[in-house]
Amino acid sequence: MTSSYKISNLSYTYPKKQNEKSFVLGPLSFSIPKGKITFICGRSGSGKSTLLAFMGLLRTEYEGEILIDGLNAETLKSKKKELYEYRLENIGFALQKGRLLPYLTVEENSTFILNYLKNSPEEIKEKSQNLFQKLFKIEIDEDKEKGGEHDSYSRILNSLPEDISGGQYQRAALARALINSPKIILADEPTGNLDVNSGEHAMNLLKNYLEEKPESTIVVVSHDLEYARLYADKIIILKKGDISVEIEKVDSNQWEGSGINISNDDLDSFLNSKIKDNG
Amino acid sequence: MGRFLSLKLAFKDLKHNRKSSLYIISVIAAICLPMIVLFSLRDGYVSLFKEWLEKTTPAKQLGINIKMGDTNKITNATIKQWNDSLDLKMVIPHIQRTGFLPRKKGSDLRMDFISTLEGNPEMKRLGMEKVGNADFGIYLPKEKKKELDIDTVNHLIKVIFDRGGRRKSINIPILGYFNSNQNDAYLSLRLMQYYEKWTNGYSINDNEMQIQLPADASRESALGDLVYDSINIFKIVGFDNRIINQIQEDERIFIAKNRTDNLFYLSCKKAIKFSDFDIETLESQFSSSYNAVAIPHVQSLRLNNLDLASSSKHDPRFQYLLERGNWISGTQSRFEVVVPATYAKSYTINDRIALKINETEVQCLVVGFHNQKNDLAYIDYETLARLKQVEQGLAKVDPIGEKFEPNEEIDYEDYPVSTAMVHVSDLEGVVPSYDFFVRQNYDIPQSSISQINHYLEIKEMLTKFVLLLTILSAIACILSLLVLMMEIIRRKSAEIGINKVIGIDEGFINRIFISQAIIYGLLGMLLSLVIFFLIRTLGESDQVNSFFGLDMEGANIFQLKLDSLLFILCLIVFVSWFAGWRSTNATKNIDPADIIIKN
Repeated sequence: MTSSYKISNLSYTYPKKQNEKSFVLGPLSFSIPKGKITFICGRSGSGKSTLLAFMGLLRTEYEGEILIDGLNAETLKSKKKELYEYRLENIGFALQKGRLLPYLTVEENSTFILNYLKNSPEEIKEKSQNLFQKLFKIEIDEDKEKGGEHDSYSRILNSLPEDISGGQYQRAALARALINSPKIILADEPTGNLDVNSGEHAMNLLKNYLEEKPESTIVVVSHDLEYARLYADKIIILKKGDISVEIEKVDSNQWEGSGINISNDDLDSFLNSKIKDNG
Repeated sequence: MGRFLSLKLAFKDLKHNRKSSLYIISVIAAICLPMIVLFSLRDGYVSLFKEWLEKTTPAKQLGINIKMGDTNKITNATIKQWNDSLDLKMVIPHIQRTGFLPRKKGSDLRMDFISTLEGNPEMKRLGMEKVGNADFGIYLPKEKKKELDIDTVNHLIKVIFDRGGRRKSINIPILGYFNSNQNDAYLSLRLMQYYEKWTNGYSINDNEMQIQLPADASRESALGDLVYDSINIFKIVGFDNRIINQIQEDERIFIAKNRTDNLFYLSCKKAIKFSDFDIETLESQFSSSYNAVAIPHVQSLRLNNLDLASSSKHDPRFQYLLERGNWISGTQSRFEVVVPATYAKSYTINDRIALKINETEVQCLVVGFHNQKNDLAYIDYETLARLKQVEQGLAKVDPIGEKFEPNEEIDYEDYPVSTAMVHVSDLEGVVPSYDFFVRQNYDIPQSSISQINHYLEIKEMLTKFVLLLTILSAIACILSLLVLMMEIIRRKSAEIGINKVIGIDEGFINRIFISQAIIYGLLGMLLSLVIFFLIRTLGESDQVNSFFGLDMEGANIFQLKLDSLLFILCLIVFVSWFAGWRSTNATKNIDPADIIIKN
């Protein structure tokens, strides 16, 4: 199995705050497999978001080594323009609070990157239509049930972010992350603000994306172990800046790693015990 | 969204945040409005002052005279050169002569006839009413209509030319009337040139108004009477000083200078020349009282290596100048010359010296040698004056027949003049034109240069004042926009962060804010213009006009010229660009990782 990310001895010391002990992330060494969904879980303050920022090349002041598809991220450190371009073309970010631009419609927000990359209107239409139909399938089905012609669907596309529901907002943010077909998706709590149905819908969309593009890699940072159990192919648990668990699914019912073998049924209690501070 | 993405994003954001945008636009408008009002007051005042100056004075007209003794007359070629160098509306070769118009009752009315051309700006200024449409006729003062019994149906008038008492009348069409009660009438330039030629001995075909050459049996007389700028008066024994007072009482004489104890140099008044008749009068006066001789002075003419100087057979100087031979007498030839004694090595008395003028060789007869150690050769003054006409291309010389005749190859229109009326296109162009003519060594007796300089001083003072306030407004505009834009950026730090996360570069993000600042600036200016045009309607009221001391009909002190508007526009674009650009410094400090880490 080829790795998308190969991380060796990654460490970072957080700036010390007054009257607090200094917090150190790592040193961490692990790999993220290609064509799989990897969950990085941990409690608040475990360092998972910082790790995601390093993996997304949003920060470069770490020690150690990050290889992305064999490319040493170190080489992009000093080249700001190339770093931005690499991120734009290869990494899609799906963020907890979406952060859509409030003055653009859902469609404009989703296709913003394509416009920025000067794609022609025909190319934009071709790339977006298929994706929108999958992301907004619920609305299209509703329209069909009502016998209308894509009424709620087109309404959503032409709405401003402030005028749509939380689930729709998250899917629109997902559309922006996926529109340029990036080979790496970094999702930060993609189900964080959503109800169970919307959360599952969002995760299914990521899963579908991986099925369509098996060469891509999805990394989900989450504190929700339930979604990890259901959708992850690999789970890494961070605790106080260190890896406490790194396990991979070997078949539909079996997980291996960190010197243990564990079945699906025991996974929940195992992970819960490892994630707790005293675990 | 396609092209101009950053601009479109700026517009969409502005539209989305209408309330705050309107607030920012209002702030910019509040700063722009006083600037626009001040510019308009300056433009209005300058424009109205200029209008008043142009209406009430011939401010854009310069009367150009060649200097005394200058042989370079004003020709079509000269006028072309002026037109190429300056921004002139019209140049009218100036010819002025006295003539007469028949009156209803009593004697003929003495008039000054002045040359003009179709579209003369000065006549337009004088409220010219056109009644005819030709380039050959007369324009008359409105106030003289009654006196002259002008029939409004028949637009022909009898004009009487006068040459020393000899008169000729012709019927010519009336082309228009202008506001004046002076005894001035404008005649078309062509007609005035006929008049001039008739004065100089040509005849005029009454039916076709054509000049016929030669007019007289002697073609030389068709070249016109010779006129002189100065006269030398010689007397071998010193003059009595009382003569100076006597000469200066003569109204024609401008200056009388005692050059040596045997020579008076008289220079005539501007625009008046000495004629042969004057010389005879002066000579008889001096010869009876002082035993002096008057000889017209013609500036020397250099041919080959000799400077031909004017003299005459009566020149008393021969008594001390002549070393050998005889003084010029005109008995053998009109080309008799007295040459320096050094020439005796190569020439003897009665030898001929060939002097080349234009393409013709004139064989001058050596009659004597003088004792001065220079290249002067004394020749008869009239012959010298004619040779000068040959040099200028006006005449041709036949050295065999010793005759001068008019050069018929000269274009009629090229007949040179000494004075021209120059009409400058714009008032601002008058001072540079004035300086140009001064540099070219012309006299400019008629000009409104002092009034124009006053106008320019006021304009400069107002411009400086307005520019000073503009700089202050621009600084206020920059500071306000900078603070507001920085606040916008602070509030949008999350949006900027997410743009950076997805890979949008800083340059593009900054362009959005710079575009937004420019849009705010332009809309602010637009709003202030709308308010200005509402204020401008106040300028139409008499009360406001009297407040600004304006009594001109239809005047409005609030005028905004296009160049002022463009200047303000460019300034606002620059100011808002600068404020936008400076404010984008804040985007550099936004860390995209914070979007994930601080979530």
